[in-house]
Amino acid sequence: MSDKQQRQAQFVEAYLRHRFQDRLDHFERARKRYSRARTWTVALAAALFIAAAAAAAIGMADGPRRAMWGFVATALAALGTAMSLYEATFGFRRLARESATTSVALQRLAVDGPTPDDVDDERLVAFVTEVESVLRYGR
Amino acid sequence: MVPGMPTAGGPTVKRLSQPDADIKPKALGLPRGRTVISVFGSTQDIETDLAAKLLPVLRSVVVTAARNSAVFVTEGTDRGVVHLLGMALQACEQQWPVVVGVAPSSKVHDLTETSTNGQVPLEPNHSVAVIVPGSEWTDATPVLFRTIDAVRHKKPVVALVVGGENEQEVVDHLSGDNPLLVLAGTGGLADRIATGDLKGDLAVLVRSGKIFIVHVDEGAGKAATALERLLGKETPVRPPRILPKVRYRAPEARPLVDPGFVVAYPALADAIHDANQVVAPAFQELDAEAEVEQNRYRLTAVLAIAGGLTTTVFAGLQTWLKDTPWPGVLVVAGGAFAAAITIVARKRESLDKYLTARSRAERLRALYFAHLASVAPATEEERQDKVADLEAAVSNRKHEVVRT
Repeated sequence: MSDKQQRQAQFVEAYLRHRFQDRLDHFERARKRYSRARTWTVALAAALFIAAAAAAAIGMADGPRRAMWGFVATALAALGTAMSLYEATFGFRRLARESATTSVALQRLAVDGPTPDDVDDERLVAFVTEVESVLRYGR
Repeated sequence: MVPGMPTAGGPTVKRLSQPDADIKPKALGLPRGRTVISVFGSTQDIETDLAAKLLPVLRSVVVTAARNSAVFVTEGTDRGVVHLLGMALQACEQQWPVVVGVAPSSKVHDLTETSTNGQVPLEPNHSVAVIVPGSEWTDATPVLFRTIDAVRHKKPVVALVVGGENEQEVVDHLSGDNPLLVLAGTGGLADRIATGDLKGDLAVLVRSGKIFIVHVDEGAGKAATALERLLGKETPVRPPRILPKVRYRAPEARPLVDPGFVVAYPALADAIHDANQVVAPAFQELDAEAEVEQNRYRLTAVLAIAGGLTTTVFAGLQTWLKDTPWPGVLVVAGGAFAAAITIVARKRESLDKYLTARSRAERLRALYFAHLASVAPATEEERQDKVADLEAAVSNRKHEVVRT
């Protein structure tokens, strides 16, 4: 193996491990983390709104303490709104979807990607260009 | 006086009656069940330039070892790397680590004796010197490894290679599947391990073993981090948090390509070294800035939401408790707080700063690997030109306009 080929093989190994796999792991972790965060925030907000509706319903039936139940319903509804706002402000859904798109695009590239034992100039340049494009633009 | 510091008379000398005598830590005044750092290094005088770079690195190693109650085992003589280690020991302020030297009797003399037939003095900052009957330097090597085993019991042993010539010691160490910390840029064996210029058993053991390489130019912090990782004291890297922190500190920077991997890519060693010197610091700076701004943006958003929530809840409470005035005060305070936070968030523009820093950091990360992909320079002059081009590219990316 010539020096150039050896260098190229080592670059492929380093690129796949420290650039490609590192970023793929990052996007996979991000996808899972943001999906889980969205599931929890949506579930919690829904539970709070349901609890607010329940408190309001009890307030209708409990005449003497209607003002207190009104306060409880308002507080629960405010908490639910805050939770929804938190989810929307941080964009968990968008972040999870973007991470998933990038992760899938990288995995597709990996199928036909070079390996340290099987690499040529043209294929390596095409692979690196495509990976960098996916990492920059997310697709 | 620092705890554990040897007296002015130098190390406590313990002479073995025969080379294969049992090593009993208690009888020799040695601790047992401690992590051991064995030092394999050059025995020749070290050039002033290299020594000046090496001394801060050894100081950080010594301080890290003392913090982790590790024991050093060396060849114990006042020359080469062990002499520098002795100088580094004097930087210990809290705790002096136990340092054990193992040397053959006919080659060394203690501080109360005079040199005869080219004997070398014992290094005076060592805690204990185990003197082995023998006329050759190699006579002490088996005792050195038995001393390591006796001290460590079941704890790990890490070898630190600084320059050095003796391959057999490193082979014996790696044969036990023990990790190796190599200070590249110190010449000799250390550089050969870093560049993969090895043959025979050592080549096999290095390729398959736990080898961490830190270049002496990478500084004391990197060596201390690598040593802590080998001693199992490094805290694992946690995933970024979704909930913001009030007092946020960016996590410790991780290298884009760990210097330890240089062994696996000897043909890229120079390129990795140059990229670590030029690109990595700028990347890590922007990466940390992005993390801080992202946390700040999220914190202000959470505080604004909390302020709005407080206002609504206490307004509801005021409606319920009509005759009580204090909920009204909290409505005013909550509303004012939410308004102030919203204005502060707007003025700081943390989201824009975060997106800008993140974009620039990712561009630098791409540049790092683009540099590794480039053709190897044929001469040192060509390499310097490439480094200059790389510096210019880093500067461009650090300041490029980002549309957020």
